[in-house]
Amino acid sequence: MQISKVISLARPRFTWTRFLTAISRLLVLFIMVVVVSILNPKFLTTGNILNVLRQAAPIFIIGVGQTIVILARGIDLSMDSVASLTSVVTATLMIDNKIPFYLAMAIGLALGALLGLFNGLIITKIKLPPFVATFGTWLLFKGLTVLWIDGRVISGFSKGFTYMGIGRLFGVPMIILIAILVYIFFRILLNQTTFGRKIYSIGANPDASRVSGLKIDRILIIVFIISALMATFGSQLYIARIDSAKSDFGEGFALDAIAATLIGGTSFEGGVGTIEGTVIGALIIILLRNAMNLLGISPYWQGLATGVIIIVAVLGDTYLKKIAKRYET
Amino acid sequence: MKIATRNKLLQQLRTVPSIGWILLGLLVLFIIIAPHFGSADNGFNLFRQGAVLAIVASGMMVTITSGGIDLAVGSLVGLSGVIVGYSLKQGYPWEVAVIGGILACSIAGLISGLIIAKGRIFPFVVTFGMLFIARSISLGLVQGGSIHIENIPFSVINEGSFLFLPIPFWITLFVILFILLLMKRTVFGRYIFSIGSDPMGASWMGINLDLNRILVYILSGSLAGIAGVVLSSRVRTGNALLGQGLEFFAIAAVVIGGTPITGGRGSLAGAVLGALVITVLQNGLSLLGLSSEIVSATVGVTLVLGVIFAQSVYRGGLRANK
Repeated sequence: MQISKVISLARPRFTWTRFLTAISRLLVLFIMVVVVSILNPKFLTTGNILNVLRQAAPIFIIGVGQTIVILARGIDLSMDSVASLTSVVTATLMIDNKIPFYLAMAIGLALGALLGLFNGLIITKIKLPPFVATFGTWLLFKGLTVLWIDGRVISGFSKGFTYMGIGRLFGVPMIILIAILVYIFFRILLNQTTFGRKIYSIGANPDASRVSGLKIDRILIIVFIISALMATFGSQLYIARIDSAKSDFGEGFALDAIAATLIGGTSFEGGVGTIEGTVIGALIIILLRNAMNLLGISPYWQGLATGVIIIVAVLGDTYLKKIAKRYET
Repeated sequence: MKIATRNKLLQQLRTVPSIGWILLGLLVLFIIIAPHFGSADNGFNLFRQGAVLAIVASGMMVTITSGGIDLAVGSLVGLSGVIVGYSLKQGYPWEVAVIGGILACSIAGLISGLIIAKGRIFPFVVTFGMLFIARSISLGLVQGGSIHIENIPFSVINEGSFLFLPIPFWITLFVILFILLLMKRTVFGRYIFSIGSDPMGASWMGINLDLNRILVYILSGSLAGIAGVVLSSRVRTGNALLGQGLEFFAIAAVVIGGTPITGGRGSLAGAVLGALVITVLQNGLSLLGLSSEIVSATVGVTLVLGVIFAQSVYRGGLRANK
């Protein structure tokens, strides 16, 4: 068991577990699409499908950050307020200070990196459990957001900024193209670079990683910086899409990101999971909401479906693993 | 075995006073700087506000000691209140409504526990799913709004007093004593400690891991249900979002009380004192006229500092015993 884990760390290779995990997700997604399109023919229109993809993009981008943290055996609860704080700062810089949008976004991202660094330092240097540390900073950043904006709703962003959220390039919504770029970047980072493999290794076995000379603290700090950066970037795209920002709009982002990650098959144990899974996880969550809206089911029942899918997905994985083991030995 | 018990005793002697001193310091500080903080009315208020968090934190302490975690308790507090409000509106007597609310939460705990124990899934993941499910059910029951509770005998739970002290205080005291006896004087309690510190070893000793884990989540769910009854009686509404975020405050109360989040050890007194520290902070800062977000930001900073403090005492304790 342990040895096979170490070998599989060396480079990603085909295993039945990974294959079945991926197939089962695609199957669920496929069944959902079929069922919903039978129940409501409006579902399979280009407009609605693009709408689903557009809504899934920010959740996926934020989910990538959460996925990397969970791969490294951490958790980031502060994503909600990191998202709120940085995007509110970005928005006020653009509207109040008339700073060009790319500069404002860069400042927002820099602030995000700083917040991530802060999380990472508390977790690695003071050795607080990530769960407790990021809960504390969640409250702290939330307070800072309110201090910064205090109940205002900011809107009326420049054309260049909203282009990222609602514009199209060659007929494809810009936000989807950006999500695809993010996917390609992290696919390469996680699978083709030593840094990516180190994240998996820390998650699979922190002690062994430490003994084999990995600088765990430094990698973890970078992981939390990446997660805060993704929260920032995802929320910037989000406010570009809805063209408004206020102090509490990031609420629920962290929970959605954790849900997308878990539905996508990333193990809470650390060291097991893929970016592709998170893509599908984000799609399943949004598809579910979209389908329930189309079918006229009250949005209050969406949480029920999300919760059941999380538990069923993870429960299903443990059985899939048992089946896969039979093939592998 | 003997050394282990002595270590635990030393441990508790070291950690419990530290959080106790923080509480005392906060009380003195707020009595001096916050107007009306020291008044008898506000004292009773503190009991009523602190009751909910103290009850939930006591349950969370058992869960964390067993090596688990229950993220659903906040949603269950809301669910319990909504079911009480819903049943009262349907015309059931208040006793039935209260039992129904608590029972629904016990069942939710049973389901979480079954999936955790039989499915071998991380408690974090299962109860995270249950958080969504329970909140969604209560939102669906009241269609997003909240139910106003007009039943007079029910509001007595909050307003009434017994021996000059508010009833929520007595409920909390009863819960604390119950858990104290459960953890210190029953086989179940000893099993919880051993499952939390070494599940494999506990299983080899013949302890039924599954059964005890399931019981832990039923207990945690039921206590959340009781807390929900107390809370909905105080605000006189059943609202799905009432307990939102309470799970995190409960975990924070447990951890600043000196219970390590990895399980195997637990301090009930620490958890209750931790809950009181959070309540006093929230109450005192609000009396100073700060906005609710600034209050929670301050609470957040204090929590992180409190955990750092609790941890350093914990480490110091270990070193001193070696």
